[in-house]
Amino acid sequence: MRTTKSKTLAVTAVASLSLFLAACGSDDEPKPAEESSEAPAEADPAANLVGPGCEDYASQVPDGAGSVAGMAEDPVATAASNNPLLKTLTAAVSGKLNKDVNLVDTLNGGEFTVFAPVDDAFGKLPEETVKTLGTPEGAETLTSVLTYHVIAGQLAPDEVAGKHKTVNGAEVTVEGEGDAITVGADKAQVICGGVKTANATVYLIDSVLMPPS
Amino acid sequence: MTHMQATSERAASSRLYTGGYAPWWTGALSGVLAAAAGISIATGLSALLTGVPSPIVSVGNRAIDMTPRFLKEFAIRQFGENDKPVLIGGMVITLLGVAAIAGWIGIRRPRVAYGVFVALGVVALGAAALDRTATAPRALTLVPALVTLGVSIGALAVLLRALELAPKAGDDLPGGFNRRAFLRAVLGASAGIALGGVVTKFLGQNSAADSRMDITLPRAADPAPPVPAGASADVKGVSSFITPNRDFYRVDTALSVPKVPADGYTLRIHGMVDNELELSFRDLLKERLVEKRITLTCVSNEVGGPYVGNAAWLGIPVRDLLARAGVQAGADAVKTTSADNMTIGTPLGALTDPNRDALIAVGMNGEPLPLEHGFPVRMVVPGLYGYVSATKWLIDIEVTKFSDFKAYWTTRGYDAEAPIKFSSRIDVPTSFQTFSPDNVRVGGVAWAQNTGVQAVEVRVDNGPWQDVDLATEDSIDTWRQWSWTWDQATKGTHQLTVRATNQDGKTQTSDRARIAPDGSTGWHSVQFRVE
Repeated sequence: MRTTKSKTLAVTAVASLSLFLAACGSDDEPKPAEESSEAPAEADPAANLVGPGCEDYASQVPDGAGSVAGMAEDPVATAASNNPLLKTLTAAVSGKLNKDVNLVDTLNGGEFTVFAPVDDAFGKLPEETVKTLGTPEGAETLTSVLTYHVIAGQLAPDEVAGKHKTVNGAEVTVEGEGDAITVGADKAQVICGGVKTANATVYLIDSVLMPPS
Repeated sequence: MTHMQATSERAASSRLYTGGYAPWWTGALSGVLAAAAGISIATGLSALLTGVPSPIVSVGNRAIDMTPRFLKEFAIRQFGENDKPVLIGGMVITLLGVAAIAGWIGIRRPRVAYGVFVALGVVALGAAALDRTATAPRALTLVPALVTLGVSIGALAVLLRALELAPKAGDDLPGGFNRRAFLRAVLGASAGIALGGVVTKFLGQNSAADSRMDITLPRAADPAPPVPAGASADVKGVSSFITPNRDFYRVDTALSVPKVPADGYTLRIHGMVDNELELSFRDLLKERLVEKRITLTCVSNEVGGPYVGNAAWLGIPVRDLLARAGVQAGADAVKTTSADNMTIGTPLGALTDPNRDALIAVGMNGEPLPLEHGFPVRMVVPGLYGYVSATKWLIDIEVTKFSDFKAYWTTRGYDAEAPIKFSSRIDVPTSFQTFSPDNVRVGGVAWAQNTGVQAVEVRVDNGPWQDVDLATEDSIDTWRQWSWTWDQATKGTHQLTVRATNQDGKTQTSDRARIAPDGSTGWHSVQFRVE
């Protein structure tokens, strides 16, 4: 295949447009692989965070898979499982709290906004409630509670305020902006929000949301 | 009062003094310069963007798609491998001819000229929208055509306006136009043309894209048979059996896509061989080419993840080249290197196995490899994860021993050898999808490259495992689609789980393994709702 000749012709064709460049032939030097400007510059995952607890989170989890930068690499359930602040939530979505409730793959597929209660948030629940959620009879309630924390589509911090239908079917209201965002009727506080994962935007919150009964 | 009316009134008043128009060639020149400025700047712009063809290339691709086969074959006979440059040259000449005529008419009837330019711009936009070689997001691929349209019409307006200006009193030059303004406009348009040309030539990274465009792949000596009827599951939302190039997953370490032109490309085969080989891209195309459909899988694919794709690959069996090089006793590995210095280690046996079509690939789904997928040459091995076999931008093959080197990922927590773990995926339902009770129809894909899929089963919640309808098998190296209908669906929230059994009779393990060190395992499950 006479690629050299073809290339010269192609370049000439393009250059004939550029009347002033008609004299530029093709250089036959192979160009080495180059760094180029069109590379999708990795946006800084920490750039868009909101919430009073972001600094604490960054100092508690400065690096590794559970850090802001690390979570951006993995799909949301995997990312959450790497975050030491989200141990209880991870157990709840992965069948470890209740073997009949496993949302790992479901949450890893598709695009979502996830309100992620931190471990202290689960700590606020009555012990009896958590125990019930782990029983076969509690599976349906646990599913309902967990899916009430998930909205289809990714909402950035400047889009998150408003009334949204969760994948549970019921609506949740997000109010405020910046470091003072609250979620749900009981006004759970966003500790640190806008955390990117491969497929979802996460808002760490300080209380578990309860779907309207 | 609009600008257009203003200029035509000025033109009318100029005619009172001179009784005529600017000479015809000034209009023709205006048309040519305006069109050339638009295209040149857009070409420069597209040279700076990855996966965005220039307007001329897009129109050319569209023309090729629309050309009747006999004409295409005639062109190939007549012009050989230069058919595409000839096509592009012809298009450019035609375009500039049309632009010249439009500009000439535009001296008297500017609206006609603008109309012609808009029509040409619409053709460019349409071609960009339909260009199947574009790999960038669709909105981005439209940018060069929009720039062409804007710059061309803007330049044309400035030029034609200069031709319509009234002459200064006492100007005895013929033509009745402001030469100074016209000259300025000509210089301005020329500067735009030069700028686009300089960017294309010197700043653009598209030498690889240009050389890709010039390539006409030869036919395979051993083409892939047609995809069997019934290979696709009849469920809306299940993956396309052949993954289009623009949808094919891309997982690599290249932050920017290496640009390796086919000209000057050399593939070196060396190490523990009797005869070191150096093959140019042209040499490779002269080899016996085979076409195989192979489903590739990335080790980073989580259970249910998107990093699986099926394509028809055109290439040279690796074993042919290794046989010619003469592999020496004691070698057990092949270390391949990409143009951006990624190293990959592959078991020698997988490449010399006569029953496994490991390829040095030059084509993907009937086209030269897209730049993102390794242009001009990559490796594809059925049954091995990409990080141990699918080297893109391949330039170096070294026959060696595993004990003598560490490949890129081996030093980063992944195993040196990694056959693909057979697996299955639910495409429908998507997460939290809602069905009506009489229409719970689901489906997906399963893969067990180099072994084949024997069965796929699903279960709802903790119910019994049930056999699905398996689509027709294409080959053991391609994924197999499946579908299933839940006849007595009950309302509420449910979980669908899938598992596959391979031709060796082994069923997927339910044990969850993470992607490191050698690939994920576990049954994929998706929650959905029936209402």
